[in-house]
Amino acid sequence: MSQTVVLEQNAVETQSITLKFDGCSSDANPSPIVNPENQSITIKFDDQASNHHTIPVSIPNVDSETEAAVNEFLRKHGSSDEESVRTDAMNDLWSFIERQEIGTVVVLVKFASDVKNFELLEIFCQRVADVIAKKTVEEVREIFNIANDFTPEEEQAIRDEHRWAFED
Amino acid sequence: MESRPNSTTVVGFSLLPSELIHYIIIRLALPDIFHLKSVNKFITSLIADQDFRRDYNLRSSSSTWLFVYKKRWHRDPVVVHGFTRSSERWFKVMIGDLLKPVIPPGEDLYFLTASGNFFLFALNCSREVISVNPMTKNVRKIPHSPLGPRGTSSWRRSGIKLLAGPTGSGQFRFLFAEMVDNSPTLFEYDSRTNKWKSTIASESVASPSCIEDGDRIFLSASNGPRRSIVISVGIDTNEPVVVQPIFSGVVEDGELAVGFSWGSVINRLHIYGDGRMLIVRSGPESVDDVNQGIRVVKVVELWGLGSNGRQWAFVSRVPNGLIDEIKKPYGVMMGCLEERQGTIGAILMSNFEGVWDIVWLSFDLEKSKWALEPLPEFRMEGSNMAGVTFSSGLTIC
Repeated sequence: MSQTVVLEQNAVETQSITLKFDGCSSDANPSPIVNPENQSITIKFDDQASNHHTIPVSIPNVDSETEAAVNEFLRKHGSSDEESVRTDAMNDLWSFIERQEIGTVVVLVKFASDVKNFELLEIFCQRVADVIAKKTVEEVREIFNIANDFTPEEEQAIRDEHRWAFED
Repeated sequence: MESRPNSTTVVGFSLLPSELIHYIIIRLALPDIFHLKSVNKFITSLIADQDFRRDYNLRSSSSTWLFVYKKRWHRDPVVVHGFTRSSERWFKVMIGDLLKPVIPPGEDLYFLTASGNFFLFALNCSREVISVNPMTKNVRKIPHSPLGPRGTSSWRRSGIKLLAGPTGSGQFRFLFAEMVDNSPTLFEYDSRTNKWKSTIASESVASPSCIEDGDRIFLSASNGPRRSIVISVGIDTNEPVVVQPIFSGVVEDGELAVGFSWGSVINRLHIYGDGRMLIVRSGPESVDDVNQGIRVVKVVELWGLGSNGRQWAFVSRVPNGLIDEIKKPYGVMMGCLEERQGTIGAILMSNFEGVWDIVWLSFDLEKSKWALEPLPEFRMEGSNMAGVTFSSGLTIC
């Protein structure tokens, strides 16, 4: 469903414009429609975060196969209110994401956040968390290209502080 | 392997805004959070951030964890294994180093229960109880209750409850129920005063509020095949009331095992917790099995206290499809039961020829639906099962 922003020109005394929001905003570009009768301007957002989205999104920095998989999810997930259909869509997307490089998933996390799609954000963040959970500290640094700025003594101090959590 | 990912196609982790990194790592179990702390200083500061800690603790303390203590030899350092639904592996809580200075060599430990960041152990030889908090590294010997030194088998028979205080308080309360001169009595230890208090539960007529009030704790004082004596007490008040539900279901042979069962004669196992009762009926699959004391689970039923506590009321039976998935030949079985946030959790641990098997069943009270929680492999050959409990996730203090 698209969200509507209604701009109403008030009566003579104030000549001000009231902005009324109906639903949440989106980052998509609006196109204004002017209603001459009451002088209101309606801006309709094609909400890309909507559950009934049908227009494919374009995702920067990922390959076409990934973009297609995300769009398939959005289409399927938005096409039905039935829990089983939505769960299938999530499972399909999840299986696809599990086969992708972590770098791609990090891009997708940013994308999901930018378009405010919380279902996508959940899936992608959970995947990144799952990958982190399986890795050693050094592997986490490699995969996410993080520089180690601790001295060996500082690192040891952290391990000592939380002895119980380190199995080796 | 490339040392730098292609910058046109990859957004490095460190280029994600803090809120997103926060949103990703909040899902990790606490041991993994502490591993992450040593990745770099930025991650450390993120984890130390007050907002992150608050959000993390809220999430973790409302998650359900299963803790199991398995041991091979008395000399082995104490390790408690923990698992939660969102993780894919067992975590180890390494508390051996914390306990070594306090536990005399040769002492035999039994893991009683856990809550928040506290783990409670019974010492079999000295018959004491100690609490361990791996976060604060605090180990505390709890003074004997008014009943004096108490062996593991006594602890296992009573209803017990550990209530961790608010996060960061470092305090807890430990409650248990016991029949003393035929009177159901509630014993409560408060770490703030380091003292015990005992209260005889009143026999006044139990009103429905004693049963249905969500802020009440139920502790079994005694359980027989036909009648149980349960103490109901408010979490924040100390006015224990006796509830004596009668079981009028089928009793095949009058024999009943409570908490754990072995031997071929006893085919009905009752597991109690939080005012609920799980009845596990088992039987042999073949004549050979009968002779060797081997049986399989046939029926698992959940019963509750009913609205006035006078009867055990049947709630639900595990569907046959699930029974087929969980049933395995066994010689010995034990378990625990708890109710947490509208879900009943039941653990069945069974041993067959030296190998232990764990099953986690859950029942959604609102949806009336049973589920089997998948558990990663848990190798227990040659180990002794020395305590299992549900608890909440650990918190950062």
